[in-house]
Amino acid sequence: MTIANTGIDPSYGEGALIVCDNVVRTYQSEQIEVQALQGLDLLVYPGETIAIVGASGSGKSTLLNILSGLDVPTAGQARVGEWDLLRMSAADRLVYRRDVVGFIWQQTARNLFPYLSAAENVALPMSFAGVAAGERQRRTAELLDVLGMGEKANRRPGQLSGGEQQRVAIAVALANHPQVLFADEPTGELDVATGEEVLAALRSANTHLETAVVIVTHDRAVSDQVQRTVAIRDGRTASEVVRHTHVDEQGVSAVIAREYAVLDRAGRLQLPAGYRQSLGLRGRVRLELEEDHVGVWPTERKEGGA
Amino acid sequence: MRQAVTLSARRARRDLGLVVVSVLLIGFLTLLAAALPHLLQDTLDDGAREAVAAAGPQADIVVTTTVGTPNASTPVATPEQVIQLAGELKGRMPQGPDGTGGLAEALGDPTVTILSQETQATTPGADPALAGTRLSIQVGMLTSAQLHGLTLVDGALPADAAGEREVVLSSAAAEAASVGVGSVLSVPQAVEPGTSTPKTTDLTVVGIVQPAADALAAGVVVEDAREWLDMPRMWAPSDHSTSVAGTSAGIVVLTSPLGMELLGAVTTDPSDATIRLPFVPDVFTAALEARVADDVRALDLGSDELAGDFTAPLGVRSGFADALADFPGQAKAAIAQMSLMIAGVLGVAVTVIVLLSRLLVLRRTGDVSLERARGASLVSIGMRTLVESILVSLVGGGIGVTAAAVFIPGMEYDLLSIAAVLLVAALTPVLQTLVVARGSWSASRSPANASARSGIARVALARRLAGEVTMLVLAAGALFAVRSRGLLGTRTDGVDPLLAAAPLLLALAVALILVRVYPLVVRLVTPFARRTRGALGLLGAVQAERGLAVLPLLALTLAVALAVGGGLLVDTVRSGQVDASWQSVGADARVTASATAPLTETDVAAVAAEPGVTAAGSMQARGAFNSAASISPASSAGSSPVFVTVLAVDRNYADVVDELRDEPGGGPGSDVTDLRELAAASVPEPSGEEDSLPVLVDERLTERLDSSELVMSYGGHNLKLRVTGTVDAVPGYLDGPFVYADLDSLSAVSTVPLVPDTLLVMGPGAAAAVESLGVTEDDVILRTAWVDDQQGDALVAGVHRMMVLSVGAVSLLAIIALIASVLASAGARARSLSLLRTLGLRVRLGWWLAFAETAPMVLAALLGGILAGVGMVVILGPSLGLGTLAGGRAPDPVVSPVVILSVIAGAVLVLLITMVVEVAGHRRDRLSEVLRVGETI
Repeated sequence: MTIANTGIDPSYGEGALIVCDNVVRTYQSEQIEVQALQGLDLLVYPGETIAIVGASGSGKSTLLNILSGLDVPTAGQARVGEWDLLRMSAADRLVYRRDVVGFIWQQTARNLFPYLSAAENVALPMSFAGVAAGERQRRTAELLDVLGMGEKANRRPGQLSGGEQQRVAIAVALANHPQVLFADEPTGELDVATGEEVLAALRSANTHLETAVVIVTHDRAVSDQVQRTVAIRDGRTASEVVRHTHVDEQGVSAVIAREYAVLDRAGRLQLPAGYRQSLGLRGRVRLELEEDHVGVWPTERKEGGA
Repeated sequence: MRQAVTLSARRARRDLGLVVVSVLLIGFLTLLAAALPHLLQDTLDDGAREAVAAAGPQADIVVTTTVGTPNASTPVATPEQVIQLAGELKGRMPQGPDGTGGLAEALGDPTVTILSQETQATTPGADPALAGTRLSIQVGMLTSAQLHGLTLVDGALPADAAGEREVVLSSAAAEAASVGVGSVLSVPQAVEPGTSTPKTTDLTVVGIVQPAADALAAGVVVEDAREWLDMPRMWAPSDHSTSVAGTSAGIVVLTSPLGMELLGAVTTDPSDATIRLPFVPDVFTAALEARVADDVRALDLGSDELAGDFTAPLGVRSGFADALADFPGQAKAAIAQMSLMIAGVLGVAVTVIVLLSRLLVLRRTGDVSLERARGASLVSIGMRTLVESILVSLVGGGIGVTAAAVFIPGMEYDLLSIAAVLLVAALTPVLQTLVVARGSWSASRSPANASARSGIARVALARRLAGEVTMLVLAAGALFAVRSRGLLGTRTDGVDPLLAAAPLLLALAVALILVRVYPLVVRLVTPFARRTRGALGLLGAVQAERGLAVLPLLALTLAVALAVGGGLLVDTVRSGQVDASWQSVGADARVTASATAPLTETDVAAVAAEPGVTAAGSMQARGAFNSAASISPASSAGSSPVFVTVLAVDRNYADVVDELRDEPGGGPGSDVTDLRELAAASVPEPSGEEDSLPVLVDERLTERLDSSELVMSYGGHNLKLRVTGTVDAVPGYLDGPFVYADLDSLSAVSTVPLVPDTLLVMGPGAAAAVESLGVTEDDVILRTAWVDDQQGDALVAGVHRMMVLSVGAVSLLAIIALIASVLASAGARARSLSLLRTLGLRVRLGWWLAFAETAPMVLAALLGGILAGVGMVVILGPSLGLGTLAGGRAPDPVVSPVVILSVIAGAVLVLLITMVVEVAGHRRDRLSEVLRVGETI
């Protein structure tokens, strides 16, 4: 199992829980080749909650499947904790899914067995991991209580609302003490209020159980509520928005969000489309190294014509 | 553990409908697995019983010895010793391995016959008019068997007391010998040394007897009853009144055991003792028949085990092996044909099990995938599925075995077949679930290099092609092997796996070819469908282009192949039976005239004039069978003659052949012309050729004789022959080679006028017409009765029953297979249909989607199945011993349009049923729900 030598530069992502370095995932369907990830870099630290956003087809779900151990990158380096995601055997993968990660899908019905009660659903992953019955029972009750589902432990998914189902799904995902929880559009099928409940549940998992949470979402309401939002474009990490809470002299707190472009390991940088359009940046651009920044200039017409 | 049980139980409850269907299907398959091998065995056992019964006394074990005075020079036995040996002999016969199933078990109670040598007798004081009659008598001992088999008509039974030499005889014997109660029969004593005057012993007739009606089994004539079989003159005295030496009569008289001793004391010749051990047909099975045949061959009466302390020489004979010589071949043929169907049915059954369990597994794919995602190992998923499928299989198996016990009481279960079905039923869901589980989140790493990925795809394609080619080669090899080795290569002690697997392999090969050819055909057809007005053509084309699902296609192809193959085999055998009936009977009715009531021209004319008779002709056959006629070249003196059967035919015989040629096996039309010309050529001509007899010869004879100048030895005369032609069609009930001559012409050159001994009658009124002749039933053979007899034969009827049951079973399985395959894609279709409804498709056209998906598969299966079915009969036919069941030579395969059209009609019906199920399944679909949630089935 795991990684003795991941091949990742030890200095890159030191202390991070999740390290993706130039990850590539290519699909081949008949004669068509699809490059879902084209050299993606990502670092997630323990106890952090991040959101991954991006347009449809940008590679968000592919990345999540890779990190969940449900898919394997074609090339690059990917690590979660001590596990090298490119070198795991089938048995390693089973242990990884069981003990290291937890995940929930967008479709509420897909996360739970409809014929098992909420408590039975939560206990199931523990039984797969061989947890003793008493411990299973205790842990199940604890998780459902933390997520506010203790009173509905014996109800089946069909008797729960969508938000409740997602909260139970979070409990299921957390059953075996994972280091990180992945959620793929967890509020995609829910109304705003219910989505808030689910987000609260994820926050609760993060704060009470100290589990890192990675959420793939289209929902701005979700991405605005996490510490860091990573935007993916064309299979690469394009930008990051980092938020912190600022309390002013009057004691009024405000969330300050600052967007950063991401410079990858090869020195590549994606400029936001708006910037490019307003400055007419196209094709070749001129870079000027100043004392404290790098300037990017459009190519002058005569220069471009030369 | 509790969690696993809860998960499995709740899941099974959710899928209760499918689980119940699986249980019922497994029950049905268990019933088939129990009943079909039983039916095969039952048919063989019935066949063995029928064959032994048909063999009758000919098969009996007959032990002979001699009985006489103990002081004779050769060791002889006393009657008491013979009777004692008879009582003990059965118990000394070979036993089976476990004390049963051997020769001893197959034998009934022995009968003992002790009969003196033939001796001349006189009747002192009899009517002087009978003085010229020579009377030869044999004295038989009245044993308990004979005593039971007769009734006293007059007088008394012989006293079993010292000094009494009393006898009884039959009414016929009394009449032949002109004696009655009180008459005396004097037989000569042995001449004592030193004396020259022969002495006589007087036997007093004290009673007249007749056969006891209640002692004779139904349909058994008295002469064939075991107790009288070895003294044939008891009820039918021999009569040699035509002998040139004068009138003579041979009779049997019966005396008491003491009377026999008295007689033995005064005669030198010892009497013959016969112990007849009959076989009991009812106890026979096919296995016992084989063992008995071996035991009889190895019977050694010289051994102490059988003879014990019996000192007189023993002889033994049995016609068992000869009488049942045809049975092993017939049994082989029956096994071959039935095992073909059984294996086919079980093959379809296994495919349907796989299909149905696939349906269940498909329904659970999401669950399995979620389990895997939550960390369930393959072992835990497999174990849970195994426990569930074992329970389902056991319940289904229990239902099947119970049903078998109810429908077929007292049957012996073929545990191997049942275990095989249950094993497949238990393991199939497990394997399929594991395949799904392994494939879900398989997370295999593909190479980054595009050319490396194409290389992997190429290797996978090459592997698949190699597998398919291997499959085709295997199928071709198996068919070739079975065909080239023939029926003799098959086993009689069980099912031949290679032969049984042949239809499966053939259907598999055809299905593989269909899967490969189908896209090419679709590519040709769908452009036209796409251009049609409306959406149906486009939708149909899209559905058709999805390709064929291999499993349903295999199940349906195999089912159609079996239905077609089974139907054609039955038709071929039936056609062969009709063909053989013409060969064996020679006409719609054949009358064999007895010597006492010969046929006349008037009889022939009268029969020909009867309504419903289209032709009637007579002939006299004198043949190779009794070396009565032979042919040799006129010029090659010393060459060995060829024995022939001479058919002296009347002028109407050609009319019979003319009618026959319209029937299968009746022969070509040229024979009719040649026969008519034979009659014309037989009119004496002044050209001087009248000394040669015009004849027709068969092809076999033509090949053997290279000279055109032939001489025929016939009735003690040599006749010069003139061959005017050859005939192709010859009677199958006589041995050739054949020579046809005109009856009148041959009669004219014979010393004794020829009288026809056979009358052949054609036409629907043949049976009534020959009845009007007033001949006995034994002298008439009706072709329809012959066919009925043949079809009523236990093996033929059993094979037919097996074919009908198999076709019924595969039809049912085909319906299940098609419904299962339609249901498997019902969810996706529900979504498509709902989406299409939002675009304006009328809901009632929803069946079109299912039809467009299913019809190509049914069509392909029909085409492939018909090809495989016809191929099965054409390729495997020669290895199935069809001739032995048809009752003649192996019939040519019959490809009956009726069978094929029936199967096509059946397939259309199955398709309709499937569409009804499809429509019923989607009746309650709610458009919005399906679109929002997904399928509802």
